[in-house]
Amino acid sequence: MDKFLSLAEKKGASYAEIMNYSSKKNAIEVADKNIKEMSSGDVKLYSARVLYKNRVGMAYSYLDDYNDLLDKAIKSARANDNEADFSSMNAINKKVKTEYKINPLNISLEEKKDDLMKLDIRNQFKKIVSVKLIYADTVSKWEFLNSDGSNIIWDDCTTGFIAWPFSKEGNDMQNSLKIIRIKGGYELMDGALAAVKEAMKMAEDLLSAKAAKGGLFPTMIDNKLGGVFAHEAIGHACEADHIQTKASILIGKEGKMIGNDVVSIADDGSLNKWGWTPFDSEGVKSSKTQLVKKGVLVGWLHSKETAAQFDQDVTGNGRAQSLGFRVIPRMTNTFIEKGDSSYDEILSEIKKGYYLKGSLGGQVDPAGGEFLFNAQEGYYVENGEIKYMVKGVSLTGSILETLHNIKLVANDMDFGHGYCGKAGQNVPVSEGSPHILIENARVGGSQ
Amino acid sequence: MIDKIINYLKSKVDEYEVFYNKNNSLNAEIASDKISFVSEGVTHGVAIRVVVDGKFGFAYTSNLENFKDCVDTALKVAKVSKKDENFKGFVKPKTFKVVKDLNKDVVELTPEYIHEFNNQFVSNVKEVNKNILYSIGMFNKNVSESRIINSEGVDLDNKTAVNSMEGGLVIENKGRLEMLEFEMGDKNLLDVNVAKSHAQRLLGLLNKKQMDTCNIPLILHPEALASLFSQSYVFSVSGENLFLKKSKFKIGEKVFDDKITITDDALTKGLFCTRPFDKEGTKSQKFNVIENGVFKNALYDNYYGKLVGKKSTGNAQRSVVSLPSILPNNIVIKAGNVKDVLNDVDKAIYVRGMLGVHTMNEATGDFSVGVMEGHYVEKGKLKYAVKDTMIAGNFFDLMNNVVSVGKKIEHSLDVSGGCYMPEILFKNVKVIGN
Repeated sequence: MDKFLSLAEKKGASYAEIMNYSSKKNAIEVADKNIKEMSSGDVKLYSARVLYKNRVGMAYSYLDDYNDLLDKAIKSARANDNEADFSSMNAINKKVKTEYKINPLNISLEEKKDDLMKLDIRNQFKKIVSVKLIYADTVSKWEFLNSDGSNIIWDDCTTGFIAWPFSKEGNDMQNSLKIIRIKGGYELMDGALAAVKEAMKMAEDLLSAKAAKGGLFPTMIDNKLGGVFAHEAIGHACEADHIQTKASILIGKEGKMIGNDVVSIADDGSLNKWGWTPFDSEGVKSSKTQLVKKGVLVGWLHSKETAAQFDQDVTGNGRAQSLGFRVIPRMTNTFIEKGDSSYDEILSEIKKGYYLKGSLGGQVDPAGGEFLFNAQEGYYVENGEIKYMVKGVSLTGSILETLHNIKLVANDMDFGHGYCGKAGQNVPVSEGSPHILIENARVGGSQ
Repeated sequence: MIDKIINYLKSKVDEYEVFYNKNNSLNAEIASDKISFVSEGVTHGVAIRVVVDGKFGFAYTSNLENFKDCVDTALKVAKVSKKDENFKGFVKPKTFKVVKDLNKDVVELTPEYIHEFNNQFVSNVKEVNKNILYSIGMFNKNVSESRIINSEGVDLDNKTAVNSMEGGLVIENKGRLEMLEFEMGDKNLLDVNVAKSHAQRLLGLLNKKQMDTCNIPLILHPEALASLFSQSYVFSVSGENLFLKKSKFKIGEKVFDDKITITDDALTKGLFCTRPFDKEGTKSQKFNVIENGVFKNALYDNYYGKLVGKKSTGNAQRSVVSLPSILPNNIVIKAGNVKDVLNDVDKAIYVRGMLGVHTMNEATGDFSVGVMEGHYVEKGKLKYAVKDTMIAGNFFDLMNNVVSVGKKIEHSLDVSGGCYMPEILFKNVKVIGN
């Protein structure tokens, strides 16, 4: 790949980088004790990026035809209206490896399949009528070279497991999804049985859950839903490209109070969570970036391109889904920092309201500042006591109002692990939070 | 290379299927009216399915030189699989004329063309209001070549090209940024004049007000309707979900209001998802799924079609890295006879864009979504755009409470990209606002 860098220099590129990604993936899906899908595959791709006459261009291919990659990257750069400037950075020569206890490639497909089959424990539950179990592992290698002299290799390993049971009673059908994922190996499956039990119990409990009543209520949200709020509502609005394109509610609010002073939020790619990125997709080392400090907006998330445009430091948040995708500012592990209240204190503050847990996904309009999240579980709370479960409940509102309405932040902490979608690209991220109390939260329900 | 793979397969196994796909893509991103990034690339891959003693094996690779490894892996997977009594063989060949539907102009579209298109698009937007910014967007061209070969004798190839543009227009109004999200896609070159109507839509969203919580009739624009269809409809009409009894639907039962007739159509020329054959080599069809509210036909791929004693309906969809799955082709809802459904109602909420549709429960049909682009309607007129407002309800209840169906059919890109639907007025929906 050195050859590409020298070719690019000869053709007049002021900066060049080339990457190679190769991976092996194994996946098994069992539906109702039948193998629905068992697959094994490998992927290999090259991607090149240049800065040519101050414009960025990219090309990718399954072939390592460096002349063709360079031609296409330069043509792409020529059609780009925007000037960019990557200041040169210190060369990094490093090899990193994701730690694992059990290499998934050392476990045979047959063993993985047998383990998965054993996890269909519906006979322990009366109302579970159907179960989907999915396992996947990916072992990959990413090689990165650039004209600053960097040479990085990342040997990565990820495993994931999904339990998805369906319950039925009369005409009512419910389902529940439990996902566990790690940067690591087959040791993940030690936690699979507990995940299945939890999902099955939830699917059964939902059958007797009541429809929630919509309106404004004091609401406690748990670690996972709080993490989703930090990620979706604040994190995205702090991505520098959203600031640039005026697609953020936070434009012009740097240094200002945007929320209650109990709220601090940060992003940290160096944390050993699912969103761990020792180096981002541009070869920048990751670190902690404070976004909100005691209610004051203090930082943005940058790629090399946006950092140069803002004349700020890189933050290690330039990420792409894979080779062939554009590097843009993305989150890694994003979280609301611990406060000094407790779970019990928060619950006791609620006279009539809700406790919402987990997330089935959500969406945010970063420009208008409105968000919507569907909670995985919801409970009606009266006089500080959890009364009964509610279903189909969502949390919505304006980001800034909600930030001001966060009255208490607990001293506990937990993370959820998932994929974040932006501009058609999905990257692994973790989202964390303590339990928090939101006054006047707009809760949506069908009753 | 494909021939080498076939020869190697023949020497190892009797039943096999090879799916090859190659994608040439050209992507441009737009930020603040300008092209901010362009990339061009090519990816390819081959997926191999084998059947050994009634057991399935599946493997794929993008490293075609190593095809022997890939075939051997598929055989290994088959060895540890369970015998699948339900599998009744791959698709049998049928003689039919493959009509190519390929627009050369789209295939040959260059970075310079996109540059020019974007300039024209932006100037059309500014003509409506010079303060509107094309905040963020994407232009994409994709040329896809695929080939399907199986041991039954199927050997088909096809090439398609599409271009699409999506993004958000923003304008500042009284200290508040309003955004309009749009998307457009076609097999033919996109019409740059549509920019003006997108800009007009954005201006219609200024001075939003919050609605009071209430129960009120709902009018769904074809785009919003298609996005609701992408969940519970796709789930319920799938032959797989019917067989597994996950779907609430039963053949012959009334599932929607009798004003609703829906066709799955992969035959009519010009429609976005029209194709000569599906991703397993089954000839494309056109059939009624829902007829006057009655569920007539489910959608099948080869596996589930044969399993229930029918045939594939040509609804197999797949990428190289996954097995075929059942998805609608063009979803066409029959036009009604109402010129403007707005006139059929005194007060209503009119919704075109929603937030969080993907969170709806596809099996039960329950949804609770934010309104991104919507208006309060009074006496047949859009009164004001709404903010901080949600609608909640159930998809199946809605589809059984249809008041009137519009005359005009519009294309939107949901599901497989080909939704052709009218505006529909529904009896009641729960609105959560102030």
